[in-house]
Amino acid sequence: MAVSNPQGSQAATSTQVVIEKLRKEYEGGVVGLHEVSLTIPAGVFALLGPNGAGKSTLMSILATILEPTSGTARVCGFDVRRQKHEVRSILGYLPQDFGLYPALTTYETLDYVGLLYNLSDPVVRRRQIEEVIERVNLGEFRNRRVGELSGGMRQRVGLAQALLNFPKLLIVDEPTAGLDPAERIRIRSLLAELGGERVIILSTHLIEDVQAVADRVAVLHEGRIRFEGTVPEMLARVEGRVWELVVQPQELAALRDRYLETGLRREDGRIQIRLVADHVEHPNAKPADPVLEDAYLWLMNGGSANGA
Amino acid sequence: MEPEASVSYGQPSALSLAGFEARSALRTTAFRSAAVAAFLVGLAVGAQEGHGAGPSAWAAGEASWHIFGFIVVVWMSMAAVADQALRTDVLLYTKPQPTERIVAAKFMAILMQILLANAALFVGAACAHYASHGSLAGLWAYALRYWAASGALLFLGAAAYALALLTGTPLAGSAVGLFLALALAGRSFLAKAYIPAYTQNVPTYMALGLACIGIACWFYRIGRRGKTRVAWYVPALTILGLGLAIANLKVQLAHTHDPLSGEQPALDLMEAQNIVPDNPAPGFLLPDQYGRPTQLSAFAGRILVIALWSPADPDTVAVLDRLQQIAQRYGAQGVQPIAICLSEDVGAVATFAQGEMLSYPVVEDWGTHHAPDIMDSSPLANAYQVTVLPKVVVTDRRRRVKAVLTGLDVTAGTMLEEAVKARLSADPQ
Repeated sequence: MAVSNPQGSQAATSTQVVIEKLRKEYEGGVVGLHEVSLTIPAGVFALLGPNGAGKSTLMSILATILEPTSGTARVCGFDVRRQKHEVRSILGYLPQDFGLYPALTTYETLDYVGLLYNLSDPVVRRRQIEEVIERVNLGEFRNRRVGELSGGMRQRVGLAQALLNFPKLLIVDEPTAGLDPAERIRIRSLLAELGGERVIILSTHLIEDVQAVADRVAVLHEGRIRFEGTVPEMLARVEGRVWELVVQPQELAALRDRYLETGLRREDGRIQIRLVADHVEHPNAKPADPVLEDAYLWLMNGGSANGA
Repeated sequence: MEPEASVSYGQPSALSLAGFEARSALRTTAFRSAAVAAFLVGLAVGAQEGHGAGPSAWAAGEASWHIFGFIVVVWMSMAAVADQALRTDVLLYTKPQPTERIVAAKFMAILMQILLANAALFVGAACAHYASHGSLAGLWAYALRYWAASGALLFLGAAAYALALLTGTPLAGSAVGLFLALALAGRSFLAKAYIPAYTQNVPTYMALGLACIGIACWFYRIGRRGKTRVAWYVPALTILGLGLAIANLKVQLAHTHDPLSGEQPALDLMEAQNIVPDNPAPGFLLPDQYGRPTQLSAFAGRILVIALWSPADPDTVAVLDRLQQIAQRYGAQGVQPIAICLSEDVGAVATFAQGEMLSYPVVEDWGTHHAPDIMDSSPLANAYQVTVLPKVVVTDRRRRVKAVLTGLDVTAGTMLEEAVKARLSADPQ
């Protein structure tokens, strides 16, 4: 997509998000984020972590709908606390749980969002709407009421509204959750295409989404960054630590007690288990190529799961 | 280095956002259903007795705030929390728009729909009137009642919207519904100032409605954004609304007669009179349909036909047409009809005078307060010892009471005309 938005081009001094010692403490003392620091360059940046890890808190702060307790976050140079209006002008946000007006058509929805983005010139607004409709492949549904669209289609409308201002920062929270495989791949591909000149922060539970589109990854756990780097760097954390072995069912419990299990497959009455550890003391243990899931679970387990 | 602020294409006003929303909403089943229902209500109440559109317009105005008022309260309460319920708020409030502009635009969009649906009610009433009378004479009366009813609806809607928005629950809006129910049921024990649909109160309640929306914008912004600077027009709207409401209320209280909020010595003097045969008819100084102070001494040397009636009793309205006939037939012989309207709503006289195209003075008894016993409803009603409406007093040319007629027979038969003829023959010009 051509980045032709004067809002974005003049606003941004550098297309990146810089987070310094960001902390969010909720009422009652629950800490959502512990002094998180990150620098997110242009490209697709995936946030991985279990529920309650702080992903949504971080994204909500960047989307200016939640105030941090302390620390700073700057989006393309704009402070999310003091320059909310400027941040919103270059922000596209697709939350996980969002709604659309069911009585409006796809085009009308985007027309309204265009007004909210201050695209008051109807010609400019129309041009940008046409562009995003084409980009998210909603052409044949442009005059269909949103209430009549499937979940996947609505998700595309949600993405279209987030793209309408050609944002410098696009935040998408679990965009493929609940979608069928074909739609998931379509959304994933679209995000991969959109990365480049803008920052895309993608929160997901799905490791395969990350593997498919992310340039960089951060793993959050209990409000802290466990890892931050590229996908190959994340894989490198478990390089030489992944093992596969075929075992008898009665051996499983003992192995699970000692090692971190990242996969299990049943084959002809026997079980092939996948473990992450510095060393596995078992005659059948064979080294295996690491996948992102191994690295994620290893990081979640503190990055040192090894009973040996 | 601090980055430059983003270049804007020009911010749309709250009005243009509201216009977009309202245009979209006009195509929804919900709005069309409301408009059709309002039109049907108008049809049902619009066919009233009476030569002109006055009774029809009055009935439409009453139905508007009595029935449609509750619908507006529910409508506004639901609309205020619709974005939270639909989860569209997470998209709306991450866009580069001030919170207050979005809130104001949403309110205006719903208000536009309500005003259109309310117009459908009056159109329905006008259609019913045309179907039953074959004429649309006195159409202006609908505009007068539409104004008063819409003012009340604005206040009810704004208050319900503000309460529901700030509390996050449409149930809070029901408090406004309770107020409306109380205002409808408690006219005998509530001061007139509490009834939002009375024409004299409309400016007060419209201003209060504006203040409600200002407060809603202000506090909703604080709730979402913290104590950040709010757009200048929000405090301005709030202060202006409250200021206008208080100022208008003070003016109303200073110039009204209401046993529950303040009495006027002039009306107490009226009450001190009595209707006695062959004695002068009780005098008064009351505004006519054009707001001109009117008193009996202005009609010296004429035979007066003074009729007391009330729009609250539709059967008494027919006396207005009988007086119009008297004016046309006997006006040249020095007969002067005067109608005294016993209504708490000072707009009633204009509505009926315009609707019925009356050429004689119709004065507003602004001392009227709803009471179970009609004699207690106003000092003048007491002076004229009104127990049944309509009550007609015929005087001689020296204002002395010569005949007193009461009840519906006055309008149904020839009793009134005969009384006038008898007076004319006894007291020729």
